[in-house]
Parts: sequence; structure tokens; C-alpha cells
Amino acid sequence: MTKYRFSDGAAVVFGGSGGLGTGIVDLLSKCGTDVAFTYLSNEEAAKENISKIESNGQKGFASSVDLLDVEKVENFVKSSKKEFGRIHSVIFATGPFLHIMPILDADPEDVYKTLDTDIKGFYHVLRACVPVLRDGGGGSITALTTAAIHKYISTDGLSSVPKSGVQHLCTAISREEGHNGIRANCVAVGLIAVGLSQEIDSPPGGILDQWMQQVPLGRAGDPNELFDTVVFLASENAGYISGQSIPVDGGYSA
Amino acid sequence: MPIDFNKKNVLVIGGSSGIGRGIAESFVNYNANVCITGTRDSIKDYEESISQNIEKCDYRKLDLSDHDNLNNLDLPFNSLDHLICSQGIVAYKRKEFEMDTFKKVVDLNLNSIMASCSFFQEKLSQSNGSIIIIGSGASYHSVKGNPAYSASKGGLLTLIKTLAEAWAENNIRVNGIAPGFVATKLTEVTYKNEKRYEDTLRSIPLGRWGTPNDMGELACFLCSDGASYITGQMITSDGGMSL
Repeated sequence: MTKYRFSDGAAVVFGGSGGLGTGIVDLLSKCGTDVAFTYLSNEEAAKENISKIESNGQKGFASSVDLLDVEKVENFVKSSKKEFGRIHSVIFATGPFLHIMPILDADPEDVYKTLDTDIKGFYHVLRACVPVLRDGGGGSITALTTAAIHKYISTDGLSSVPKSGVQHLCTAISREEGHNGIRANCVAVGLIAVGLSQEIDSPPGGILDQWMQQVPLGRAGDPNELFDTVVFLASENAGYISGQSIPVDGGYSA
Repeated sequence: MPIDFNKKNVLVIGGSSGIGRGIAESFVNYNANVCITGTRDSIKDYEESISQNIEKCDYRKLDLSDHDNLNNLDLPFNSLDHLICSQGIVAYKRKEFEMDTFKKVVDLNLNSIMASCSFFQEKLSQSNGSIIIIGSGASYHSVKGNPAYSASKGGLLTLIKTLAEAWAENNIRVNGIAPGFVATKLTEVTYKNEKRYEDTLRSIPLGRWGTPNDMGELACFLCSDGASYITGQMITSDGGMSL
């Protein structure tokens, strides 16, 4: 018995070579499913991921894809389907480098870029994947967002504003594609000690300290405490959960 | 590693029927020692047939219309890892607009849950345990004919958040499940009426009612190590109905 159940076919992870994507790919393959994933430029990390998937006894497939290029996204999804026959789960785990500042202090170009990467990128993923999920009789979409959507944290607008759009795209898919057996959910990531949180430049008393003070569990989360929620939501164990955003944040947003 | 509650002790208050019973079955699937409670003398007094999993559970009579009855509950185990509060009642035909009934429903659906959580706080703290409270879609929205049910379930939403924050230092996680339509005796009034049932199906994007097992899988996940950084959350499992 594996931890979470998947039907035949593969999971597709967009952003599978980052700090969080790598762990998600690993846990998916440990649950006995093949995995296709995209990366932007880190070919080395992608190769390591493929080895991990293979050591877990599954097949892996990776490609460098810029999510802003809709044609490349569609080609990747087509290739994944050809490789594995069916796609049962789609996971969106990409995230641009974050600028921490009051939203009106940001360079407008940075704001537009973040909006593009998150919202356009995810929209391209949906356009490419939803028809394939429909053809396969349904499946799941799981997007990583931020706990700041549930409870705002000052200077985090560049993250939470675009991710709110991602969340609402999931709501739309849940409502409009549910009858095709497609579920869509978000994992609202709190303060996790790797990946995006680690890349944030925060001085003493800055965003990370402020955040930590508001975490009832009194500690940052371990990445492993995040991967399970993502893979659970993607799996058949969560077959009746759709349109939800689940904070994994030590109680921050409660 | 599969989810495994081997050697873990789980108490499901209201596990005699409906969603609580489904949750108890799921915990047995994952190897937990499970004790269920109900208000009747024996598990055999319930209409539902006794499955193999339910046979493996210990049954205790517990009527929480009097909270003091917790003091007389003789658990089959000394320690407690997970407490599931799935007790709940509802009154139809506008009875909940009468104060006596309103008080009775709120006392069971909200107050008895606070009493249960407090009663087991110390044991749960000793085991770094967790609590699951069963809310409802009514935790978030109105239910025209049921002011007591809706107010009590709404109260549970912030009770979960508050207990999660207050007891984090005791290493107790507190979460909830807000089920959509699940066929139990509380929802008979809907699913036994063909037109009403068809209407509900149209409002659920996934096109089906939930099952006690759907709720059981979610409860087991929330109690598992994989959810160790989740606390203070009410998770809706309703096939997208409330969107």
C-alpha cells in the first residue's frame, strides 16, 4: 500500500526542479506514479530528479519550458501524454523570485512580470492540461500559492496578489470542469524552511521575523510537511475535495 | 511509508453512525485502536449494519446532553492520540426557532465539543496529539430553517482556530472538516426526497454526494504526520458545492 493512491498514468509537475518541486516529484514517484516535470534552466537539478524518480521505480520525463510560451507548454503536455498514455494530476509549483516591499514601492515592471509568470503561466498550464484531463476521464490540479492570501503580511503583495489570481483560476476550474471529473485545489504555503522562503532577503525584524512571531506552532515548517498536503490533494484520497485552499502554515492564518 | 496509525489510540465521539462512523472505519483501515461512542446502549442498537471494521472498534455509551457524563467514560486505552468530535444534532420543522430547541442544539453541537476537547486536553498534550472537529457547510453560510445548527457550526469555525492557537504550545493540533452532502440520518430529509436529491446533485460540480469514507480519508490525513504543519484549519470537502 502506498501513502496516497493514484490511478494509471502520470503526474505532471510544472516547476519540478525548484526547492519545493523536487520534493513533490520525489513523493509522487514514491506513491507509485510516473512523473513528467518542467524546469526553467537548472538542467543539473532536473537530471538528479529523473534519477530519483527511477530509483523509486517509476519513469520520469523532463523538459525545459518557459510557461509564458503557450506553444511550448502545449507541446510539453502532448509529449507527456504520448510518453505515459494518460495524465491524472497536474501540479503547479513555480514561483518567480520575490521582491519584498510595499506594493506601491515596487518597480511596475517587476509587478507586471510577476503577474505574468503566475497568472499567465498558470492559465497556459490550464489551457494545455484541462483538455487532456477531460480526455482521460478527469483528474486533479493542485497549485502552490501563499498563506498571505488568507492573512496578509505587510510587504508580501508581490507574492500574494498574483497568487490570488491563481487561486481564483482554480475556483473557476472546479466549478466549470467538475462535471468532467476535474478537481482543482491550492496549497497556501506558509513559512517553510526551503525554496521560496529561503530566497527572501529579510533583515532582523523584517518579514520573516514578523511572520514567525505569528505562527502558533512557533517554528518554520519543514519542506516535508508541505509535500504531503500537495500529493494528498492531488491523489484519489482527496477525491471529494475541490475548489479549496489549504494553508500549511503552522496556524499563521488561523 | 503508507499512512499508519499502528499503536495509536483514537476516540471518535459520535462514531456510532454517519460521518463519525465512516471516520472510525478509515482509522481502522490504517491500523489504529479505535473507540467509538453513541447515545444508545449498544452499537447493535443502530440501524446501520456492523462492518468488519466497526466490529474491531470498542463501543462506549456517551450522552453529552449532560457534559458531566465525560467523567464516567471508561476508555479502553490509557493514552489518547487523536480525538474526533463528530457529535451533532439538527431539528427540523422550524423547531430551532423555539428557544428550548435552539439551546439544546447549540449545547450539543458547540458546547459539548468544547467540553470534550477540554476534558482530553491533557492526554492529547502528552501524546502530541490532534483534534478533528466536524463542522459543516453551515459553518460558512446560512441554513434558512436551522438557526441553531448554523450558529453552532459557525461557532465551531472560530473554536477550531482559537483552540489551535491556544494549544499549539501543548503540541496539540486542532483542525476541522466541513462536509458537504453526505448520506446520514441527519440528511435523510434531503436524500429520501427524489426532487430535493436531484436538485442537490445539480449544485455539486463533481456530480455526486460525499461518502463517510471521503471524510474518513481527510480526517486520517489531517491526523497523520504528513499534516504536522497544518493547524487551525477547517477543510471543506463538498465536491465544490459551496464555490
